[in-house]
Amino acid sequence: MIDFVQNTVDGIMFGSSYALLAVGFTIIFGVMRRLNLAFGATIMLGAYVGTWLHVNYQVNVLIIALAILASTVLTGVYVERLCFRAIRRDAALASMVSSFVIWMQLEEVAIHLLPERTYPFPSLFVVDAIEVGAFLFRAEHVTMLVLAVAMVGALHLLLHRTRFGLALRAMSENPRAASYMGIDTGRVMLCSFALVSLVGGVAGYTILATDEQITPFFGLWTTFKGLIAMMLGGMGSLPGAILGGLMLGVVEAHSQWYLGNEYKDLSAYILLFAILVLRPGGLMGRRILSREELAYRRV
Amino acid sequence: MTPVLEVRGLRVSYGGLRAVDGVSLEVRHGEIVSIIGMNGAGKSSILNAISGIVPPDEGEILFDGESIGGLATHAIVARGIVQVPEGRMIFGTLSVEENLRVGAHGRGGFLLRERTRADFGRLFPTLADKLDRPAAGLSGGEAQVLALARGLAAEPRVLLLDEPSLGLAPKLAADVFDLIQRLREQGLTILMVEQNVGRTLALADRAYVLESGRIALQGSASELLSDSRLVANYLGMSSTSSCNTT
Repeated sequence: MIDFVQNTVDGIMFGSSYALLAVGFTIIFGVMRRLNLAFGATIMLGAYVGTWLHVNYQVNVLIIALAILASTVLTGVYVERLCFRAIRRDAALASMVSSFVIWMQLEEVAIHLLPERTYPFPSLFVVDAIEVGAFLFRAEHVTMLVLAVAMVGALHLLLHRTRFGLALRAMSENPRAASYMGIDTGRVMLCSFALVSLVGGVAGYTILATDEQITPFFGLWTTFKGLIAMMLGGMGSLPGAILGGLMLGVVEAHSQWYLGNEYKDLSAYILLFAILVLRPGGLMGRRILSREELAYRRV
Repeated sequence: MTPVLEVRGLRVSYGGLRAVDGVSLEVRHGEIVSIIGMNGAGKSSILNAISGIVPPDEGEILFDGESIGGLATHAIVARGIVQVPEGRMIFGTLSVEENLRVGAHGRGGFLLRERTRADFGRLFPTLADKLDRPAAGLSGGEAQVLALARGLAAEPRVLLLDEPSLGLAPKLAADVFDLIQRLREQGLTILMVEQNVGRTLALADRAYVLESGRIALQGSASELLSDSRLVANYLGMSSTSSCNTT
């Protein structure tokens, strides 16, 4: 019982970072109706810039964190300009394919920045695990959860209390109508990419600070985790992305504990398979779809 | 008097097919001008070209004597031309108030001004007590009223209306036309596209009749109402009326 609770809480804490990755994928999908496959690579390259600073200059952890966020945002903006802005709205496939190609390009840049495979990644701080009764929590995991909750809270406020947030939500629902209403859709797209990259940068940083190492495969890893979590929750649904991320974290934690490390990823894929068979639109996806249908039927 | 909005020699095409072929029209301050025509005559394309949604092949669009051709839609909205699109296109997942605030976005705002809010209470009493509800729950008539209200939240000087009565029951359509009449009384200039020719001409000052992308007839509403060609083709008063039932 203690193991079960411990694993569940660990899973939720680690899953909170999956949730942030999924939120990144899902916001861009919502605004653009296109998948940004370069999102994971964007996070990876940002983290590589921080690692490069760490390896070469031994700078303060805080500065590294800021450098990671800044370079992730810049890379995100670069991807938007290249794969999304320049390509016509109705050519969703072209955007997706070019974002995949840009993923390879970003990976190449990272490899040239730091040529060997694995590098140490600076931890946030060195603190002992936190003991609560019979339970033991890693400080990095707690930080991850706290930051993720803060990010989601800030995101919620941004989406519901600001002019940009309203524009983003309007555009997610109907880009054409948003355009008619005088929303500068190009600017919303660009800002969405910057925003999502910031969220991804935080997720990437906390994950790497827990792992304490980085390889170029980190781009692939974040893409997998983010896409699986998004699909679990339902594409385009923010609550779905959060639910999917937490669920993925919990299932991984349990399977790792009860079945062993080699079954961790497999169980994630089995979970995805089961959800897609039982609820093809994802957990929160169907409701969103039918609501959209409802809205269209009324017009 | 110089027109507020003027279109000269407008040509619009989609993938090689010409939808608007050399249309010139003008709208003077405080007028309701209507564009009449059958499905596919190019009516909506004219509005979309004015709004900057569709790039014209040729032609000039002047607002207050200044060219606005080639400007992005958000820049045109900011100057004071707002289109209420066909099919209403309200945001179903947003609340009624949020829909209005998206409208206010066009004039650079976020919250509704108190004056605007008071106007809405007076003009749109059906919406006033539903501000917090999701717009997806509105009836077709309410949705059209919301679409109009949302357009007005941008505080336009010229309102472009694309088929405001489409899909509405006759009673609701009449309400919408009443509303448009009241907007004109407030000094708004309106260019509208409608298939309900009888009602439109009762409301409009002038009208243009569009056929295959060209203007076939134009004149004051009363002149057009007495024009036998228009009556025959659009008002369903002769045996050739089958083509106007939409």
